[in-house]
Amino acid sequence: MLISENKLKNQGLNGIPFSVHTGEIPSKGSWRTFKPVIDYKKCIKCLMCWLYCPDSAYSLNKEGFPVCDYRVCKGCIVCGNVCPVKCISKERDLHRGKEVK
Amino acid sequence: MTIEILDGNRAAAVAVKLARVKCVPCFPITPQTELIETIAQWKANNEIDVEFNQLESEHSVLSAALGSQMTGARTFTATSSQGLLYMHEVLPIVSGTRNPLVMVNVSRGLSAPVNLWPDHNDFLAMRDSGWIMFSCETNQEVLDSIIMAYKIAENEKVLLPVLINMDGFIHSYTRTQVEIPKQSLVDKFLPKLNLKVRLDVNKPKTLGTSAMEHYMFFRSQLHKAQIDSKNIIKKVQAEWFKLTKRKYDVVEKYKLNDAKAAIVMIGANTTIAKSAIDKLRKKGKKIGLLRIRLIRPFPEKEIQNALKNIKKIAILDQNISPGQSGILYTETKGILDKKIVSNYIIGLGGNLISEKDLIQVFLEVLKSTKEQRKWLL
Repeated sequence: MLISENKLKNQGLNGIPFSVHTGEIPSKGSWRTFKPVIDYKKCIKCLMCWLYCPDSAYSLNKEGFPVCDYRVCKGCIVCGNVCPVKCISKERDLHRGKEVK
Repeated sequence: MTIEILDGNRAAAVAVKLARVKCVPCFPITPQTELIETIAQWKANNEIDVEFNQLESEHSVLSAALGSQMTGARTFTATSSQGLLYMHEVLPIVSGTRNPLVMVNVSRGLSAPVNLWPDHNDFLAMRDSGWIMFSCETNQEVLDSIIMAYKIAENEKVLLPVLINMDGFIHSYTRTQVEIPKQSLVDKFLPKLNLKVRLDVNKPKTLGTSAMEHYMFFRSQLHKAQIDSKNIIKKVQAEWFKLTKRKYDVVEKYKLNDAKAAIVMIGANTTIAKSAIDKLRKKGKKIGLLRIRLIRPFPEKEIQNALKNIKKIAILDQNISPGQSGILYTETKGILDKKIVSNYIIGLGGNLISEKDLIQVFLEVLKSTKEQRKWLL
């Protein structure tokens, strides 16, 4: 569509690129090649994975163990590297390119 | 109202105080240092209510200023030369997210070779960033422009950041008489900032989201806001005139009415040019001057109107786009038809310009029969 410059309309606040958060988490899980898997028998609840995760994918369950949200995790495995007892292993993620739950 | 003898840096700091700015992230760079030192001193003495941060680089400074402005706090920062170029990556983000930030650039020649003296290459290199841009001539104008800039930027139809330029040393370290308006007058002129779209922990939102197919819509809105801002700038300047009796326009005409030739320039050297013109006028040489105060949005019609009866025009550029010409020359020449438009490159890196040099240039312009491109070395 061709439009003359002086016919452009100033749409005020609508011209600001912003989006309101609905609380829904958009899935980024398909970016991943590897996913972290926690061995809860070895975990000492030091929360290093929770602290270092660049995407805030970790939250804590009722017992205080870290739980990874795979909708958010992009598979960088920083958590595995900082874990002092090496209880986080990486697993090949076969869901690449597809929606992950 | 009080009258004080202030340099440009202090005049800007006074304006920041009067505008009740809430946050000043900064990084020192000559010749801007005294500006933030003054604010830091006031902060240390509890004379100003402001969040003052010194960060590790100019890039971080503008990013912090953007963050602070996004939360709806009135923010100010200042930089110069290499610092402004280091900020360049963040400049389009500030305008793209439509944040009414105000920044002062104290212009200085670009490295290399290292230079500390005034030169407009740093400031004019930012002309495609979507910011409203002013160029000042006096310390008084710096103070007034900062206060007016908040009023312009925060208008709901504008919502654009403003970059104000003063010349290093000639403004920033030279003391002149400055009228300081009363705090009550500025408070009346500049109400509290109330941004409708801002970051708020209770109503989470993302500013500057990705827009692949809508990108062009947002760019067109930015362009439209720039164009529309010109009327609002004029209104704000008229309002300021009513309050303080100091008149500003988007372009300043000096003895243009009966002129045979006109000089177009920006910045502090305009003052020397004006006195050179006065001397030539006494000898009966009809020459005038047009100072462009507003660089973006470019006052195309105002320039065309001011120069419509004048055939011989010279653009004096204190900057150079190597391989092309002065930046103002390329900007202005495109809108001036059927005229002899010459370009003179002057005062790069603070190269001193005397009245004598300018008189020589002006006499040449009056005699010119074809376009010229010359350097005043």
